Formats: sequence, C-alpha cells, structure tokens
Amino acid sequence: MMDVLSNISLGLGVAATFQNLLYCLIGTFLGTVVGVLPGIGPVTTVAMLMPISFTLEPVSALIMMAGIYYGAQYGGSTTAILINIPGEASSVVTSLDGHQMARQGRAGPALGMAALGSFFAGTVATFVIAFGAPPLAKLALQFGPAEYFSLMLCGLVAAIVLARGSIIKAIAMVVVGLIFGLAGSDVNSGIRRFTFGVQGLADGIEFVALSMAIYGVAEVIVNLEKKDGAAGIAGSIGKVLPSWADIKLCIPSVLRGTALGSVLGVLPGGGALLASFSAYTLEKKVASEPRRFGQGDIRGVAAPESANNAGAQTSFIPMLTLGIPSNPTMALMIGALMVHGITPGPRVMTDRPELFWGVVASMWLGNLMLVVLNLPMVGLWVRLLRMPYRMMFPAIIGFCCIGTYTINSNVTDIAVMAAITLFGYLCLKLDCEPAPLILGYVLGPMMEENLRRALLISRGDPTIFVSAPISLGFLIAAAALLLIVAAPAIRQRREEVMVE
Amino acid sequence: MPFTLSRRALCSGLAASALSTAPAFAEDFPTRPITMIVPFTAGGAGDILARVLSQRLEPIWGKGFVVENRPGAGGVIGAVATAKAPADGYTLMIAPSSTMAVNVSLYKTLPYNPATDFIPLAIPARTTFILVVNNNLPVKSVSELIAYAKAQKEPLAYATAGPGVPHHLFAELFKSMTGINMQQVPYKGSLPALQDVIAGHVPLMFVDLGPGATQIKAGQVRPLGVSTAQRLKELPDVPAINETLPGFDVASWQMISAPAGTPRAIVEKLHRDIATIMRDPALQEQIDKTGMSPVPSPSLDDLQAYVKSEIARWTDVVRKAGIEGTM
Repeated sequence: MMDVLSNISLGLGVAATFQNLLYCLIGTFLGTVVGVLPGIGPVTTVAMLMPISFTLEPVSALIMMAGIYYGAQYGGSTTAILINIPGEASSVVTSLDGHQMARQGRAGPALGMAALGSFFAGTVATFVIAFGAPPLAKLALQFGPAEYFSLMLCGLVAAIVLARGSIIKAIAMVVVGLIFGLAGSDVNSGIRRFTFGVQGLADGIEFVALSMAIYGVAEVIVNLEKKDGAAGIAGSIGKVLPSWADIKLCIPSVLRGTALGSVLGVLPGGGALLASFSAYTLEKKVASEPRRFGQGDIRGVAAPESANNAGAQTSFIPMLTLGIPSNPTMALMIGALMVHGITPGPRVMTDRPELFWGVVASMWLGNLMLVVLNLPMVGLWVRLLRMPYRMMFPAIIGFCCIGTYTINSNVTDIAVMAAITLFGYLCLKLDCEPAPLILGYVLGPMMEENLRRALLISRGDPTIFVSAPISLGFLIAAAALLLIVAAPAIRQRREEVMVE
Repeated sequence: MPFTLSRRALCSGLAASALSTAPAFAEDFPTRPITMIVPFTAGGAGDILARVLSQRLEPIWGKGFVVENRPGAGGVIGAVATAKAPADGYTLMIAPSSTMAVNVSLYKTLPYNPATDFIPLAIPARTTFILVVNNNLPVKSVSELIAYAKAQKEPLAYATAGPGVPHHLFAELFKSMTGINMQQVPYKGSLPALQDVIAGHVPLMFVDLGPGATQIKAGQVRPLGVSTAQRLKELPDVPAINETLPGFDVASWQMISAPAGTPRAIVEKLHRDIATIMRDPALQEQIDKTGMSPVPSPSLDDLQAYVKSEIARWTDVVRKAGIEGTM
C-alpha cells in the first residue's frame, strides 16, 4: 500500500514537470482531433510523430503517444454520436443510443455524459493499473487459445442478447458478420478465401469500410428517403450539459461499465471492444425499462463509453508489464521505446520505475485535460448539427470515402464500402440491426483463429475447451446467456398458446 | 516479366533515362521529396527502420523523406506499387526477405518478380532469431531438444508469427536438418506467439531478437541457440545453433530497393548516400537497440547476387517444408 502511494507520488513527480505536462497536452489534443476527423486515426498519427519522439526523453515520448491513443477514444465517440460514424469498433455501441439522442436534440447531454463517464473510468482505471498491474498481467498470461475461444463465444452469444427486436434476425446478422469475417487469408495456411482473385481483398474486408458503409453511407440513404429534409436531426441543440437527473441516472451504469472495462481491457486483442459491447448488454439486462435502449437512453452512452475508456487504459497493463501490445498503436509505442533502448516487458517496472509510474500518472492528468478540453467543445460540436442536412450528407459521404481510403491507401476498400452500403441499406429496410453483424465480423475471425490454434495444440482433442477451468467458466456463462434469451421466448410462446 | 510495368511507368522511365544523359542530373537529385514505401502497417521492423533512416537521409538530401505504408496481402500490394512506380529514384521500398526472396516460391502466383523488378540499394539491417523454449520444458540445449523431440510420440508444437514468415521457415529448416517432427501453430505476429510460449501453451518457437531479448534477459523463456553462425554480443552466453548443427546460419533482412529501370547514376548516388549514413556509429547503435543488426553496405553487384542466392536458398527450404505454391 505504502509502496503504491510512494510510486504514485514518484509518477506524479515525473508527469507533472512542465515539459511532460506539455507533451501530455499535445498528445491528448492531437488525439481528440484525429479521433473526431474520420480518415486519420491514432495509428497514423503516432507513426508520423515517431521520428520526433526519437529526440524526446523516452518518458515524454510515451506520455505523448499514450495521450494520442486515449484522446482518440474520446474524439471517436464524438463522431459516433453526432453523425453516426463510429471510427473505431469500440464506439459502435455508443452510436446506438448516442446518435438517437442527437436526433432528439440531446446531443449535448450525450457528449457531456460520454466525457464525464470516460473521465471517471479513466481515473479508476489509472488506480487499477497502479495497484493491480502485476497480478492482472499474470491473469492475461493464463489466457491461451482455448480460453480466448470460449471468451469470444461468450461475446457472440451476448451479441444476440444485445440486439433489440427479433432474435432470428439477430442470429442471421451475426452469421452474415461471421461470413464477412471469413474473407481474406487463412491464418493457418495463408490460402485466400472468398477473395475472387482480388489482391485488395487478400487481408479480408476492411473494418472501417464495413462500418462506414453500414453506419455512414447506408444511413444517409435512409435519411434522404424521408421527405422532411431535416432527416430527423433535431434543429434545436438542447442543453449543452447533462442535467443532474441524467447524471444520477447514469452513476450505476458508469460504475458497472468501468468495472467491466477495467477487467476485460487487460486481455490483449479485442478487450476494449468486448468491454463496450458487454457493458451495453449488461445495462439492458439490469435496466427497469430496457425498451428505451436503442431509442436514445443516456445510460446506453454512459456505460459503454466508461467501459471502453477504462479498457483503453488497462490495455496498457499487458504492454507495460509483458511487452505485449493489444493493438497496432501500442505496437508502435513499443517500437519507439525500443529505439530508446527500452523494451517494455517484465523488467520495466523495476528497471525504469520513473517511466512506468510517470506514464501511469500522466494518464490521469491526461484524462483531466480531456474533460477540460472537451466540455467547452461540446457546444461547438453540437452547433455542427444545425447545418442543413443537404449540406451534411455530401460531407459525410466524402469523409467516409477519405476515411476508408486512407487506412490502406487501397481503392478496393472504397469499392467494398460501396457494395456493403447496398447490403446495409437492405438491412435497415428490413429492420435488421447491424450491431450483431459488426460483432460477428470482429469476433468471428478471432474465434476461428483461437479454435484452430487450440485444436492444433491439443492434436485435435476438443476436450481442451472443458478441461481448462477459465475456458469452462466462459462456456457455462455462454450457455446461461443463451438460456436467458431462450427463456422469455419460451414464456411468450406459452402465453400465446394460453391466449388461444 | 517484361510487360508488367505500366505504360506510365515506362514513359517516365524513358524520360528519366533521357534526362540522365545530362551529367548534372544525378548531381541535382533529389529535387523533390523521396517516398519510401513500406509494404506493411506502421510499427513493424521495416517501418521503424525507415523512420530511423529518414532522420539521417533528410539532412543529406535536403528534401523531405516520406514513409508511406502500403500494407496488404503480405507485402504484395506495396511491392507491386513500387514495381509500377516511375523508375526515377523518387520511389523506393524497404522490404524484408519474405517480400524479396521467400514469397516467390511460397505463392502460387506472385504479381511481381523480386529478382528483376527491383534494383537493390542496401541491406541496412538484419534480424537474428533465437530458438526459445518454455521454462518448464525439460531441455537445456539444442541437442537435448532434439533428443526430447525424438522421444515424443506426438510432434512438438512450435509457435510462429504466421505461415510463411521467418519464424516458420527457420523452424522448418531446423526440422529438415535434425529429422525431428514438429507441428506449426501460427499466430498473428511475434509477440502473441511469444506470450503463449512464456505461458506454456506452446512449448517452443524461433523468436526475433527484438521481442525475444527482454523476455530472455528477464528469465521468462529459456534460449537454446541463436540462428546466426556467430553468437550475439547482446546474449554472449547463448550458443549458436550452428555449434550443434553445423551449417545452420539464417537471419531475416531488410532491403532498400528502387524500381527496375532507375537510371544508373541515380542508383549509384542513392547507394553511396545510404552507405555513408550506415557508417555512422550513432546510427548503428540506434539500429542495434531496435533488435536488428546493422549491415555494412555491400556493392551494388553483390546485392543483386545476394538476392538471387537467397531466392535459391529459400526456394529449397519452402520445397522441403512442402509449402511451395500454397499461398
């Protein structure tokens, strides 16, 4: 305990120097900007700044890069709420209720709640890292292919629970998502699947192309159909900040989201994404009026935003303690540190305590800066919505094309986006929710990889999934979730029978 | 492949060679920013190397130096983009041995020819691999591992960063030289694979020095041998696999190249300038720290010969592993 406190004060001493505060501010500001701008993400930004980072102190470099990373998480939710374009997979859920709120003229409270929830989650996650990094890192090591497979399976079942409306449609969308995820090079043999000889499809369907098509362009088409021109985006801004009633309503959601995000974020690969999806599902399950979810419930913004920010923060644990990056941005940070002669890994905490604790402390300071930066900006962002829709939609389509192209500088991705737009439009017309599709698309390939890896290791013996205790736990949880979904359906059918 | 170059590239190539008759041309070069294509996403070894080099080359050339990531299809998309780029010295590529020497036998069809579509300019760095095993595996040396593997009924699993990458090929070479039976378990990248070796989900792997060194020094995995014929100065106690298995001497490398048809004067200038910065001890130290070993620049003819000999060598390994034309 005393140890941790003295370490935190060491960290604050490092992070609160004028120079490091400045780099933290630069990082969080740049992060917010690239998070808001579609088409340039944290990976590109960190890559471009890398040569500059060689000339900085390693601590300052890492503080700045970390700021870009979590700052972008903040900024990403802004576009998800305002124009329904989730720039990152983890903000897909935010757009469900967030964008509905914007349409009802409550964009201000949605953005404000996202910022406050994220700040709270960021603060808690900082302490989770400070106190729990070494044991949590050990937990992450327990996760082998079998455990990952069962976790993903559990996540997919949750995706079906998550959907509103017809369960059959939700299952269908998950399956379509899985099929989309199959395209590309097979992980075991490198053989091309469903690429039809197109080089640009060799790595599969680009996530950004898929999400921009379904959430961005298809949505524009649906809006244009409506004769009233304004297409549902409210003319009035509404209050800029969430009311006290809103905040009170959200406190439990933020707490649950933070807890889920802090734990799931530790798992390398997809942790933050699973966190936001499962936080949303959990809220829907515990809420007294679950029907309001998907129609602009502020809790549907608060919980996933807290979860993905907490997850973004705790995903630094495997990087700092094991040297294992959870995503490409972190792989870049490791690269930059290596040029300074520091390889993140088990020895960083003991060999370079000022680096480890300085970065941890800077995260809290950075989160504070983000709130200060973002709350006044909320009014500005919201004013964007006043723009007539006839001017908005060409801009949205333009941004979607630029955003999709810049990921890989690959024209095929734009063609893919156009094709999926048609499909997405059809889905919206048929009232099929796209969120399960996105989750199926993201989790499917990871599930397949881990399934095949686990079976390669066990020489084809499927009992590996039930003999590992953690894996067994997730399988039981998945089965329980399925029962929860099935139960009301059974009850309903019984009631129908009774009525007849 | 004579006609894969686009007409545009051909025209500008002709224009460039017409210009190169003027002796002042190479002296003036470059007059605008040079683009270095990295055929992988940001953050990989070649990408980091390109960004480190850009810092040194910008002051010499007095022009911008743009690192452009063109990822996709295991480096094929970036390589094709480079091969089709105007051969004027303003588009270069930094690509690993897989792009330049391995894919040609591994892929059923490869839309570029590594031996004829590029002019190699430098091999700034190569990466040594280390054979590591989980701490609980009861083997302490390469010969013990061979004996252990031969005593097992089931083949030993080994982790790789994906099919066809050096991690895979080095292990296949090890297999064919020792006659032991091993089964590949592919991951997406070196670090997740290493994580599972540390945790004991997979018993062993060939890991690149960068991610491997820290974990070895921290005692998280046990090193059995290095892939090059000489021991590494970072890990002086780790023997070379070569000491047990004569003839085992492999490493992956990063090569800078220009599209075929780039005027000789410009090629010579680029080669000379890169060789100059590579002699700087400060740069060598910087490359060392990223887990790669700087390589002194061989002559242009030696580079060309090296690519040909590496293609022949890896074609043989790929064939023996039974993965020729599978991708």
